[in-house]
Amino acid sequence: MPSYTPVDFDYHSPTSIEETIELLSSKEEPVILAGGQSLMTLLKLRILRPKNVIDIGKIPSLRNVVEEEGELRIGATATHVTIASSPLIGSKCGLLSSSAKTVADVQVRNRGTIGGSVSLADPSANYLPVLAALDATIVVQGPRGTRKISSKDFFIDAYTTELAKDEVVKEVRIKYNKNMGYSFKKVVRREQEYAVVNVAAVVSLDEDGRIREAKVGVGGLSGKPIKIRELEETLVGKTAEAIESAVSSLDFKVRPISDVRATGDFRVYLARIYLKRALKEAYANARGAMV
Amino acid sequence: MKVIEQEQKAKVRYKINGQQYETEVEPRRLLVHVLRELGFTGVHIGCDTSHCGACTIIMDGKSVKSCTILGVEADGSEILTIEGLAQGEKLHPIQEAFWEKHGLQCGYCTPGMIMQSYWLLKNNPNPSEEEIKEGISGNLCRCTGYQNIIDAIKLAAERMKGQ
Ligand SMILES: Cc1cc2nc3c(=O)[nH]c(=O)nc-3n(C[C@H](O)[C@H](O)[C@H](O)COP(=O)(O)OP(=O)(O)OC[C@H]3O[C@@H](n4cnc5c(N)ncnc54)[C@H](O)[C@@H]3O)c2cc1C
Ligand code: FES
Ligand code: FES
Repeated sequence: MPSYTPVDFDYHSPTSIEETIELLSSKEEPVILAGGQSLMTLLKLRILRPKNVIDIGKIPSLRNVVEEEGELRIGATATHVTIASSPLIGSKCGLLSSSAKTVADVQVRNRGTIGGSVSLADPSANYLPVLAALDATIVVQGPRGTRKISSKDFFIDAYTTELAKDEVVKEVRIKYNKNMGYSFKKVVRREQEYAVVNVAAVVSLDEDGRIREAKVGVGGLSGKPIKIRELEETLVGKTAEAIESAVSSLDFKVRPISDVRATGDFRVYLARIYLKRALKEAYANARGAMV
Repeated sequence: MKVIEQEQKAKVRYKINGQQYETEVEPRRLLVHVLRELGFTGVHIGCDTSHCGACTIIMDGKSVKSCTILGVEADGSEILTIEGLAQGEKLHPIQEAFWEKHGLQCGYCTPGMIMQSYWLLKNNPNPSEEEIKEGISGNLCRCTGYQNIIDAIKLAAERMKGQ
């Protein structure tokens, strides 16, 4: 055998979610395979040694992107490239499209999925600050039925989520507001890498150009993405001038990650700079949309 | 639903470079290994951890890293490898441009780099330099410093416009 070969496993390719759940409950040491962009490396390095691999890539209904009851419903196996290029997502939630465009590189975006990304919950993943900012809902299904979990509760810590072993992520739901300016910023050392920190900001304005609502999420700072409610509240009724000082005086109230990519202090420093830039850009876009 | 037990081999079919192939693979076999064993040794293994892009192929119209896909997962798919680009003795314009612009030195990254360029130019026939850089950011080259690769892709884009 050549190097980097996974351990032996049984391969299953269910054609429905029900079959998937049945397999998850009945098979020994199962693991779900979606786009494989993270899982395959874990298998090849034998960090994971599952007895059963359940490939959910052959379930057509899991890939759908639809609009229903005023929200976007994005199937778990919708790929990053689908999300980046979907006209529906582009027109309803440009913030999500723009975060999908800078996930990894083309080849990874062609295979990797949003369901895989949220299930893995890498603290630096692109979608996480977006989902936190927008209060997205993660819909999961298991033998005990369906659960709708807010992203605030879904993400627990780095690589740790609310998802139970016998559950599968089914879709991500996002409520969008019209006429909002948005901005996604990913701070990287090299193009295709995971972010050091990333920031998502959305702003809507009243007729006088004052902030009616702001939504702000930061990823890569701590184990899970954070929504900064304090900042969101401070900015209401203000204009772009208020951004600088509101962000400068912000207390993130988290213990930042220190690792090979960056120290905790540097992460906080970057988060502040990019929060300012993202908010100013979102504000300018919202203004541009008004005229 | 399909179930393939460990160490058991499953029959898989691929259409590779326009021709039908049938072979048997164990569930844990990676597509890159399967392709190489079928004779498509232009599909290189660089990092084997989805970072370098040397194993890039076109699968069902999308560029993918074949070291990150199981052979069984790809069953039924249509695949294009570097071996499928030239028309007999006539090189593909991207291959010609890499040659003329010295877009390679050792050549190890080249098949993956060319397949990725192929996908890039299919989706964006007139890319800016920035778009070229972003387009090949999943492919690493340890020799050229990328500049000649970028020049080669520009030249190929120019020549492919008329076609
Ligand atoms: C070189 C490289 C660079 C990258 N850079 C970035 C980046 O900049 N930003 C970024 O966000 N990501 C990045 N990624 C990760 C990429 O986005 C992955 O696609 C993603 O994290 C996992 O998605 P997947 O579909 O490939 O899932 P898989 O790899 O198939 O699965 C990942 C994990 O999630 C589980 N899982 C998958 N789907 C489900 C589901 N529906 N329900 C329950 N569990 C599930 C699997 O069991 C596994 O544990 C990078 C990856 C690579 C290889
Ligand atoms: S060998 Fe597949 S990405 Fe490096
Ligand atoms: S030419 Fe040697 S790695 Fe690219």
